[in-house]
Amino acid sequence: MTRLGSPLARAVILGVPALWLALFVLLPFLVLGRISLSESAVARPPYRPHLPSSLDPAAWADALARLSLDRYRTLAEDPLYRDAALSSLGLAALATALVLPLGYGIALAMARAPERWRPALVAIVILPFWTGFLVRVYAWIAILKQDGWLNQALLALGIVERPLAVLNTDAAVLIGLVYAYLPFAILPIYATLERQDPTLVEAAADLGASPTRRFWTVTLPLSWPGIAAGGLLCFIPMVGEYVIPDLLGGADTLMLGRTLWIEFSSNRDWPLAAAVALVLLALLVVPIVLLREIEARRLEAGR
Amino acid sequence: MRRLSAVNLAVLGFGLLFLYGPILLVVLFSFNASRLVTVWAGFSTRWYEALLANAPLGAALLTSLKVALGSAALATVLGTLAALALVRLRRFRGRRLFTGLLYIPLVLPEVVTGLSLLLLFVGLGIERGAWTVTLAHATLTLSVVTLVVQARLLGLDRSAEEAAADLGASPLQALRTVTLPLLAPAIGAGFLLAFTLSLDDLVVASFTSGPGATTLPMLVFGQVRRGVTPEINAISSLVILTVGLVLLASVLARRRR
Amino acid sequence: MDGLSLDLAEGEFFCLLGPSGCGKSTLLRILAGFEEPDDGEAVLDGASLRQVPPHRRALNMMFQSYALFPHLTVAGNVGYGLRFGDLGRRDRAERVREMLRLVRLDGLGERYPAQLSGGQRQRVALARALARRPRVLLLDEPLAALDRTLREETRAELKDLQGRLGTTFVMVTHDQDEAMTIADRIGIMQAGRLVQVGPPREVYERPRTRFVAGFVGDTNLLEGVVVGQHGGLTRVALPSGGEIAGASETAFSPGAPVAVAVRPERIELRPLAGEPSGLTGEVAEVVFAGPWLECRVKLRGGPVLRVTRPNGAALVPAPGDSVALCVPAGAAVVLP
Repeated sequence: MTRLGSPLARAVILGVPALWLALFVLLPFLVLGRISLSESAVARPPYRPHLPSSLDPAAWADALARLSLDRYRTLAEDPLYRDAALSSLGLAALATALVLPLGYGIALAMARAPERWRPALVAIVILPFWTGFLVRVYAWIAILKQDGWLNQALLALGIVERPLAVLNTDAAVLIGLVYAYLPFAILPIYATLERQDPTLVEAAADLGASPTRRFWTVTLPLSWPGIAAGGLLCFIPMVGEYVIPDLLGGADTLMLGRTLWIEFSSNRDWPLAAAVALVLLALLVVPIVLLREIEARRLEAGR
Repeated sequence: MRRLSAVNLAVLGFGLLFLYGPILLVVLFSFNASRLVTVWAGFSTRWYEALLANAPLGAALLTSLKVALGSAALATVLGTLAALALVRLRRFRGRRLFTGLLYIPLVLPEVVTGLSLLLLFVGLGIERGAWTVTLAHATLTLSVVTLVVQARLLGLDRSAEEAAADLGASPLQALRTVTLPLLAPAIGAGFLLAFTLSLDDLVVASFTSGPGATTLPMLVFGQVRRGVTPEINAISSLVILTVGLVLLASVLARRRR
Repeated sequence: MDGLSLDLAEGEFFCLLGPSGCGKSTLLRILAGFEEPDDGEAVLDGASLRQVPPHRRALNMMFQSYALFPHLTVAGNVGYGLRFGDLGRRDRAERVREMLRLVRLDGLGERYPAQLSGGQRQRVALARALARRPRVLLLDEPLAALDRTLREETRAELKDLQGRLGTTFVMVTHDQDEAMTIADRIGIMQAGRLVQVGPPREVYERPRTRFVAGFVGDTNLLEGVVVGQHGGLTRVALPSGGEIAGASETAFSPGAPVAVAVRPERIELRPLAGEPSGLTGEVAEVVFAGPWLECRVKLRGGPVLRVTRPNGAALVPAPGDSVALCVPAGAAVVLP
């Protein structure tokens, strides 16, 4: 069997997307690296390139000799950035730890639902995911603010006497993260649960395991790939999240995504923003590679 | 044995309430007569009427649609080509790099993608505007198209293509007359996905856009930062309605097959 | 499933045999507790199993797909059910070793199911189900996933194992050879009903319905009319001429329409000498089938009988030969 035989066809099919990816994915990273080593300047654009753009060896030698890692030194020394990094990782980890059990419970109920309901349930879970990220975060402002729906309900029920200050705190950010990323956790877990051979649970029952033991010894261990994929799928974008801390968090809620944005737009320190982006990337390399491994294995098992 | 227990149902109910409650509240209060967003004061459609007169909103919507259409079209072509390359060419040099680059925009925080693309455009001296957003969104969404088309392509029976070849079709003719029609549903789904993702994107658009090219999410974000208003409830409700209808249509279309 | 009643004897090997979809697996699943009967109940040692969840029943099941836990080792799989009993850690390990020895898998305890061959997986499933020393072992098509030679080997092993353990085995199968060679008793199921229960030989020699006659082994069914009954034999006149006398459990009045079931290997053929009288026909075809030859004999008036002769038999007719057919008394069964 000939596969898309002619060299021209091959060149088009592989070459065009490859060229695009090189231009718009690979090249931007190199630019990012280069600018993170530049000095900021009051200019348009607001930086002075440090590394030469030509291939002249003399210019490179000169540039390397004067190479300043100022941006990275700033990042390492200023506690502001260290705290932002730590709180990004911390909030994302906490939100992931909250979203996984909730997502697992929902996914389990979906997988145990009668087969003809399941496509509808999947659609119902995906639907909010498509209703616009901004809309969903925005809804929580109205819920959590001082005179918002939550406080109205709590006051009316007499649970609290004074309205709770939830909006503009880390708690609000956590709620927002859990809410926005819940479908990301549900779907991969549901996929592994749904694929699980139901006779395995029957076999466990037959061998004397109570419903609870069946869950802990069979259902849960067999769904680890889904849990891991769902967790990473939430954790990775959460670490770099910008909209949620900006809208729901307080002035002191520092997350790297927000820091990057502030350096970029308010402080107009593009080299520093680029350095923050690279730090963010460095923090996420391991989770990203891990996710990729798991997804590849899941794809294999699915066939 | 796979039965829904009461606990399962309770969790499912709570989960769905958590997912839908906030959205439904937004929709409900978009019909609120009062300017106070959180206090109900009777039914009214005044905020929808106000939207009609909102010129910047119309312009932002138009920009968003243009960007989404253009980027989804680009992403669909590129993503389908990439899927064909991955499945049909099997082994080629740089395959690992190729799949890596495809995968990166999918998982990278949007701020990183947005900033790096902005710096690229600035570095190349490209004037920023709606079309730089279009390029950025195409890059962001092409891997989604690839994933969808690739899955379908892997599940495709090769014998249809072989039959075409046996009946005298050249590889390209077989591709055009057999493979692409079989892939059409996946390509369509990929297009819709890319379109919706582009419409929804705020961060990458904010980085890569230039003066005069404000997308709908950028406009809404600017207003939300200043506070919650009934107009935003109305816009959000319209977004929800549109997405709901598109999703419903695609579910119905799939059921008919 | 309807009007079904079955008593199992202690320590017997019982086979439920029937075509797919007849309800035999459902019956097994009701015994195991995975499905509730609308009406009626299962009783073990005098106690009703109604309301007893599967994990509290003293029966174990070997699944058709084996249902081995992919995340546990062979030893983990075999020892799984022991975790919920009152055996100590040490006794459990000892029991697992014993079970692995029993199914000749010594030394493979640390492997995972994915690293085993089909036959090995089958034996792990068997060891796992037996590890809890169940009162009754339920086997759902335990040999179906094995290839032919392995299946026949395993069949003998299973029978031998059951004999040594003395556990009651209830096996579901659609393969009549399997049921015939392995079971102490067979229950034939048809459309949710148990139509005949008995030892293999009885079921084969004395089928009670046309379905059983046709489903268990090959058979010739000839329509005819009862001439008379005496001495336990019923004489049946065939439309093609001639009579066959067969055993029957029911009383028929003369003239009643019946079917005569005759096994192909029980019909004798003789060259026709002189005028045709009695049951005669012409050989239409002789097919070589390995261990035997199958002759298709066309009777006068239409019906074709299948008659088998062992390969190498002295008298094998050729196509076109006219033959007289003789059915010895007792070789035929008359069915309503």
